[in-house]
Amino acid sequence: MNYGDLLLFLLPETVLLLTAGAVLLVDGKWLCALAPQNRRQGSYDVLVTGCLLALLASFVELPQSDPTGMLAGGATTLFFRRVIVVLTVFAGIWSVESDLGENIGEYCALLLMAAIGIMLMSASQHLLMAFVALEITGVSLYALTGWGRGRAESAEAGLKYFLFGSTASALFLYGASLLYGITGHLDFPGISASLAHTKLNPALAVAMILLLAGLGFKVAAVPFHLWAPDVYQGAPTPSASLIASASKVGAIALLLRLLVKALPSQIGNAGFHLYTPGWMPIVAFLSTISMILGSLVALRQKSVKRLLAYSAISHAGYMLIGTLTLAGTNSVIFYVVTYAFAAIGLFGIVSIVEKNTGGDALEDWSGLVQRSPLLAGTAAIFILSMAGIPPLAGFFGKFFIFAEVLQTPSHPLSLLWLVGIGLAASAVSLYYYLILLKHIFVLSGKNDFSPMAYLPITKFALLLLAFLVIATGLYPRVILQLLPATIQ
Amino acid sequence: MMSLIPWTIYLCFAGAAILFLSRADMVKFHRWLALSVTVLCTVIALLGANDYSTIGDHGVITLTRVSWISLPWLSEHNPHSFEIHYFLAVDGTSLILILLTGIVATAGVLFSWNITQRTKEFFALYLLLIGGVFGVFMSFDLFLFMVFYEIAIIPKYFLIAIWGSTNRHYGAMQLALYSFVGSALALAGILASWALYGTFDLLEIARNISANSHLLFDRPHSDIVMTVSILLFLCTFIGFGILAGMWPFHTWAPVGHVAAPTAASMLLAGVVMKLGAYGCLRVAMNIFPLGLSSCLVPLCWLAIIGIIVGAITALVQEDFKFVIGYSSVSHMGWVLLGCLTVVGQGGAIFQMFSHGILAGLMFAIVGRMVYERTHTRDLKVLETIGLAKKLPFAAACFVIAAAASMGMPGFSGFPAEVSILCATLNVGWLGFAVAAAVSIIFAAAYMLRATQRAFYSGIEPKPHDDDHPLPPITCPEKVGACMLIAVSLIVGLRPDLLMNLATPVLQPYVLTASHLLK
Repeated sequence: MNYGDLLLFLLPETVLLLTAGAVLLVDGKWLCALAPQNRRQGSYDVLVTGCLLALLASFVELPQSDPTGMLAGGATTLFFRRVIVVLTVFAGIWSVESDLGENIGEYCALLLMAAIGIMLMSASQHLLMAFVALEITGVSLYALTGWGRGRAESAEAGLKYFLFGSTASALFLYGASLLYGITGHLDFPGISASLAHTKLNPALAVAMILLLAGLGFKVAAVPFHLWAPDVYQGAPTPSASLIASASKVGAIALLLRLLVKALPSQIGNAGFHLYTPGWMPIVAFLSTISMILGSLVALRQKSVKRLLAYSAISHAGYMLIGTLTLAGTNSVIFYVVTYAFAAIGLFGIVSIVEKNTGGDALEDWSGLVQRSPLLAGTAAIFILSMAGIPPLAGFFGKFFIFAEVLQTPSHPLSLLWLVGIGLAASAVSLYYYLILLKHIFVLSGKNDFSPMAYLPITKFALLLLAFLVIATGLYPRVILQLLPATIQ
Repeated sequence: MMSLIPWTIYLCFAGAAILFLSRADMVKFHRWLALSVTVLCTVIALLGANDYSTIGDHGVITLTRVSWISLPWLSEHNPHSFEIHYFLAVDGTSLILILLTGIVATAGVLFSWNITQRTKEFFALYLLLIGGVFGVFMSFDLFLFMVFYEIAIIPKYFLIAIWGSTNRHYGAMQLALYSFVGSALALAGILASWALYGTFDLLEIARNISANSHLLFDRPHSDIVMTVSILLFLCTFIGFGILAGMWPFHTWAPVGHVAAPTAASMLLAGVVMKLGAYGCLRVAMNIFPLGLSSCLVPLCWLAIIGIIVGAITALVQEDFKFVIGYSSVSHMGWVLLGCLTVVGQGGAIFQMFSHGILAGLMFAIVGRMVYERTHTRDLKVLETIGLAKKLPFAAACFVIAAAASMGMPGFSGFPAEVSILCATLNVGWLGFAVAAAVSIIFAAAYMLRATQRAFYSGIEPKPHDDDHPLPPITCPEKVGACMLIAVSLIVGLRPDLLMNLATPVLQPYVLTASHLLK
C-alpha cells in the first residue's frame, strides 16, 4: 500500500487536520495575548483559511480511489466532502458571532476535527472505517455541545448527547460485527456480493436493525431522536448549526452508501400489497413516524431552536423516504444538501438574535423585520425553503424525492401512501413555519427597536446562503449536474 | 403582441423586487409603481386578447418552452422521462383570466391608495401574488403550474395578517393552511399523473389520453383501476376545489375575505378563487377523465349545495362583508356547476370573469368606501347612518353591483348564469338546473336586503341629527369603481366578445367520459 497515495486521496482532510493543529498553535502562542474579540477573529481567520485551502485541495487532480479500499472515490463523494467543508466555514463564521469563552482556538480545532470525521463518514465504504468516522465525529461534537461550561443546559446537552451517542455507537458496532459474522466481509462491495443470494434471516435482520438504529441516531430519526431538542437548544449555536447541517449530510451519505452498496439484496418492499421484509419497511416506518411526530410536536414549541430541532426530525423523515429506492440517490442528496444550507443559515440568524436579545424564544424574534430587514428577509428565505415553498430549493428537493419513490421500477405508485403522509406532514409543518414568520414579520417586538448588531462577514455569509437556496431552487441543474447517476 | 404576455409575470416580479429594495418612506413611488405595473399588465393582456381573436386559430399558442429541470437518473430505470419544461402558453380562456387578473389588480391598487403603513411591503407582496396568479394562468407544464400556484400562497398570508382587520391572524392562517393542504392534495395527484403518463406537459398528456381513449372508455375496468382513478381524480379536484371555495371546504373564504384588507379581498374573491376553479378545469378534469366519469353527479351535488348554502347563509349575515363573502361561495358554486357540465365550460369561464369583476367591486365598496369611513360593517349600525345620503356614489355603485350580481340583463352576470343553466338543462340535469335557478331568487333576496339595510335605511331626517359628514369619495376610488362597472357593462352588452374568445379548456375526450354516465 502506498501511503503517499492515501495522503493525496485525503488531501482536503489532511489540510483540515494541519489547520486544526495550526489553530491550536497560533491561538496558544500568539493570539492569547490579544483582546477576546481580536483573539476570536484571529482563530477564525486561521480556520477559514484552512477550510478554503481544503476546498482548493479538493479541486486538485486527486487519485480516483483510495488504495486501502476503505473510502469511496468518485464525484458524489467529492461533492459531499466539499459541501461539508463549506458548511464548516459557515459554522466558523457563526462562532465569531457567539460568545464562546476563553479558549477559542480549541473550539475551532474541534470544529475542524468534527468536519474531518463527517467527511470520512460521507466517504467510507467499510464498516470499521464508518465506525471510526462516527466516533471521530461523535467525540468532537460531544465536546462542542458541552462547550458552554458556564451554562447548565449546555453541560446537560453535552452529557445527553454523549450518552445517547455512545449507545448508538455501541449498537452500530454490534450490528457491524453481526454483519461481519454473517458475511465475512467488512467492505460494502464484499458484503453486497456475499449477500447477493442470501434470503433474509433473523441474524441479518438484527444486524440491519442495529445498524439502522446507530445511523438513525445520527440523522435524528424517531425513535432515536430524543437527544435532538435538548442538544439543539443547549449547545452553543455554532455547534448546533454544525450538528443540524453537516452532521446530517454525513449521516445520510453513510446511510445511503450502506443501504445501496452493502445491502441492495435485502431491500424488501414497503408497498401496500407487496410487503416483503427487508430494510425498506424498516426505513419507511422510521420515516413515517419521524415525519408525523416531528411536525406535530414542533407545533407546541416556544423556543426557536427546539422548533428547528423538531423540524429537523421531520426533515429526517423526508430524507429517509429518499433512501428507499436503489436507483436514484441523487434526489435525497439534493434534498439534504439544500436543507443543510437553509438550516445552517437559519442557525446563523439564531445566533445573531441570541446575541442581541439574549434568548431564542419566539418572542425574541418578534418584530425582527423592523429591527433588521436583511435578517428577516434571509430568514424568510430559509424558512420557506424548509417549508417547501417554490421557487426555493426545499420544494424541489421534496418534489424529486416524492417523484422518485413513486417511480420505483416495476411497481409505480406502490409507495403512494408514504408520499401521502409526507405531503400531509408538510402541510402541518407549514403551520409552525408560518408562526415563526408571523413573529418575524407581523407581530411587533417588545420595546427594543434598535437594529441588530452583526459583523459584515456574517451579512455576506447570510446573503450567500440565501442566494444558494434561491439559485439551487430556480436552477437545480447546478447541483444535479455534479452528481453521476448512481452513488459510487 | 402575443409574445409580450409572459412579461406580465416578469413585470410583477420585477416590480415586487424593486419595491422590496426601495426605501420605506417613498410612499408615492410605491403606489405609482404598483399602479403602473398593473396597468401595463392589463394593457398587455388586452393587446394579447385582441391579437388572439384576430388570429382566429383557436388553439393553444406556445409562448416559451425551454427545458428547465431533468432528472436523467429517474429515466434510466423506467420508461418515463423526468423532464420539466418552462412552458408558458395561452389559449382564449387563459387570456380571459389574465385580463381579469389585470383589471382586478389595477382596481385593487386604486382602492389601496390610502394605505400608509408599510406600503413598500404591501405593494411588493401584492405584486408577488399577482405575478404568481399570472403564472398559473399560462403554465402548461404541471410542475410549473404548481410552482406558481404555491408562490401565490405566502403573500396572501402576509397581506391579511399584517394589513387585515377583524380576526386577521386567524383568517390569514386558515387561508394559508387551507391553500397549502389543497395544493398538497393537488401535488399528490400531479405526481401520480406523472407516474402514469410519464410527462408533466398538459398537452402531451391530453394527446396521450386521446390516443388511448378507445382503451379507456370503451371497455369496463377492473375495480382497482377504477378505485385508483377515482381517488386520484378526487384528490386533485378537491385539492384545487378548496381554493375555489367548494362546499364543504369553503369555510376559509368568508373568514379570509372579511379579515383581508380591501385590495386583498378583491384579489381573493376576484382572482385567487378562480385559480382553484381553473385548476379543476384545466388540470383535474383533463388528466383523470376516467375518475371524472364516476364522480360527476356527487360533485354536482356539492356545487349545488354550495350555491344554495352560500346564498342562504348570506341572507342572514349581520356583517356586511360576510354577505359578500358568502355570495362569493354561492357564485363559485355556479362556476363549479358549469365546469362539471363539461358543455357549460364557456359559461363557467364567463361566470369566473363576471364574478371576479363584481365581487371585486363589492368588496371595494364595502371594505374601502364604507368601512374605512364608518369603521363598522355591522348592518345594524349601518342602518342608522343613512349612507345613501352621505355617500351617494357608494350607494349607486353598490346598487349597480348588486343588480349585476343577481343576474340583471345588461350586466355580465346574466349571460354567465343563463349559459350555465342552459348547459345544465342540455345535459339533462333538470333537478340541478331548477335548484340553481331557485338560488337566483335567494341571490336577489340577500343582495336587496343588504342594499336596503346598509344604504337606504335611516335616510329620513331624525329629530336629533348629529350630522357630521363622512370624508368624500376620493378620485382613485371613483376611477376604480367606474372601471369595474364599465367592464361588467361592456361584457354584459356584448357577451360575444368573451364567448368568442373562450376556447374549450376541456379536451374532447372529457365529453366522452362524461357521457359514459348516462
